Amino acid sequence: MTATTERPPATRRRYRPGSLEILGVVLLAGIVLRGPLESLFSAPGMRTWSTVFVAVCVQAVPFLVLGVVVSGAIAAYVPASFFRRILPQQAALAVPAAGACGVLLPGCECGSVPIANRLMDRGVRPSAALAFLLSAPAINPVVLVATAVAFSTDHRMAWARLVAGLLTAVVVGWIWERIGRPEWLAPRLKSGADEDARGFATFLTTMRTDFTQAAGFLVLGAAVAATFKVLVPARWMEHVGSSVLLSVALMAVLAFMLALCSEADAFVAASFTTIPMVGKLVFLTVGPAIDVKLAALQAGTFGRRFAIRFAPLTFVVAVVVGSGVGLLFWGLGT
Amino acid sequence: MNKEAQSIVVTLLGGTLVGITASGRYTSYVKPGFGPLILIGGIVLIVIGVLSLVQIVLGARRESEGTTRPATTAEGGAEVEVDAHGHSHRHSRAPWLILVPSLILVLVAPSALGADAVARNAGSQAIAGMEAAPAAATKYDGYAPNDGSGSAEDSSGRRTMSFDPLPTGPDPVITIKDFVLRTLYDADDSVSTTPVTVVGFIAPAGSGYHGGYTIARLAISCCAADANPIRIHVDGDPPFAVNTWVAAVVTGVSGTGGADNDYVPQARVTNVQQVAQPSDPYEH
Repeated sequence: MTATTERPPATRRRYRPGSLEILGVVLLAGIVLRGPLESLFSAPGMRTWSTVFVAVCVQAVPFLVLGVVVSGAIAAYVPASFFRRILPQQAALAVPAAGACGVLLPGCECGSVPIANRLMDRGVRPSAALAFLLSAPAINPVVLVATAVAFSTDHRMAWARLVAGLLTAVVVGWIWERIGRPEWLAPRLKSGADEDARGFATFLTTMRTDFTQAAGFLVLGAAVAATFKVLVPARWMEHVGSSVLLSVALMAVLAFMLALCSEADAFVAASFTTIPMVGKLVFLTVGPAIDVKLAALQAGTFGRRFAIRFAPLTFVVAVVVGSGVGLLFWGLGT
Repeated sequence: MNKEAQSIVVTLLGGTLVGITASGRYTSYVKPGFGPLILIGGIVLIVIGVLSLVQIVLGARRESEGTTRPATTAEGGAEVEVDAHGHSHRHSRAPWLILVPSLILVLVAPSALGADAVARNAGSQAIAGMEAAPAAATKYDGYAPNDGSGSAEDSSGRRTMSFDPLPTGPDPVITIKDFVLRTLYDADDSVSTTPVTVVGFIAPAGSGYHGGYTIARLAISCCAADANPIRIHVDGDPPFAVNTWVAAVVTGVSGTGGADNDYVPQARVTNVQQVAQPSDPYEH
């Protein structure tokens, strides 16, 4: 493989190292510098950081793979007319319909980003695709069962999570329908060319490009989450006490920074002993909708201009909806 | 990053995932139940990477042979489109980051979380709503214990629950989590009267205790990012260095875990032996 690329360019143009050369140098440097690298990571803090960082990556990759396989299959084998047929034409109805479809994808949040991207390519209106993006990780059966297990003594939590997750997805979708502009999204493939490019080659290419792009940003998000986990001691949240307002703010920020998988966050939420139920629900509503890893993934998939608008919007809506639903279910007291 | 390099990076990551699953090292990062998922994910990535390389090599060969059949050009043209479609993949440097976890996994091979993570994430071990302080009893309504075993309050104001009988046999092995909960909340004080064996690693003494050491383990529900330390305090000099895995025969000292020491109960150790790190270093 190296031989094929070294041949042509060097003779004609000024030499610029290609990706393969850089890759070779990186791998070689890694092997040569293994000793210093090991001693760098032997400091206790770095050791913990590297374990958490690798853990987030290892855990998220299978779900991202599921996402890009589905995304690739849609790009290669599902015609755009299919989605025009099954989704209502009016945005007001298409958004909740797409949100409800989130029940069908048994995975966590990483997988839904490339799928939502592919749905937009296939002519699904962005607001509906985004409603799916937000609802899939929050309300799929695996996540709801995990939530019911974690809160086995208060079955209201799983229901509250279902309501808050779906509501957040639909509200954000509707708002995006009103304010969203196409130019905020990274330019897309022209649909004409896309219609022709079908079959296995497209399937393969879509999976490869979707994965490499999203996974790079996933790694970035994992690094931030691991840094937060290492630098911020768990103890600081113990002093929040039972103030609902303070706990909601704290839980929202924590959900964003910790970037937990939506299948695990219920267990973590259940272990916050001093936090009122409303705060825990906000944690479970914000987490699957938006966190540092997801914001990075979205920036990589949809473009930065999109992410800096969509992430804050989702965060605010999730906090408001989470608090509102929480108050409806549990009231102010607990 | 060009598509050849993309294919290689994807294959490398897939190979790394398959490697850590086959060697069993993956349990240092995620819970054992994730094994099949990671294996399948890794295999799919290898397949994607290898097939992409084959596709690229075949495409290049066809081009150089000059066999420009219409079908081939359509295929090749479409691929360029998708590659360059707006996300400016050619200029993106993000895919390079995929190498970072692969390289760390292969070159550094991070170990399971240990004493450092215990110190960083140490928090109260009380079950929600089961804090022993009787003064707070009026606030318990919304906080049901997560274990659902029910709760009561004994004469001293200590909140208790009922537990299943201990496993039979001499010094039965139980998890540190089970030991801590029984020492704190068991109405029958089962582990205070019957010695049991726990497996964990040595860590420095936690807050609220002076001297002594901790036998600890981390509990995860998904991956190491949600790890939660579980600790038992032991008086006396630590028998081994920090992070050494031990199997210890212990009895709990009832009434020792409280708000001033994060509800870390104390244990008396009658026998402690160094053991190899368990195949699953975490509890769940």
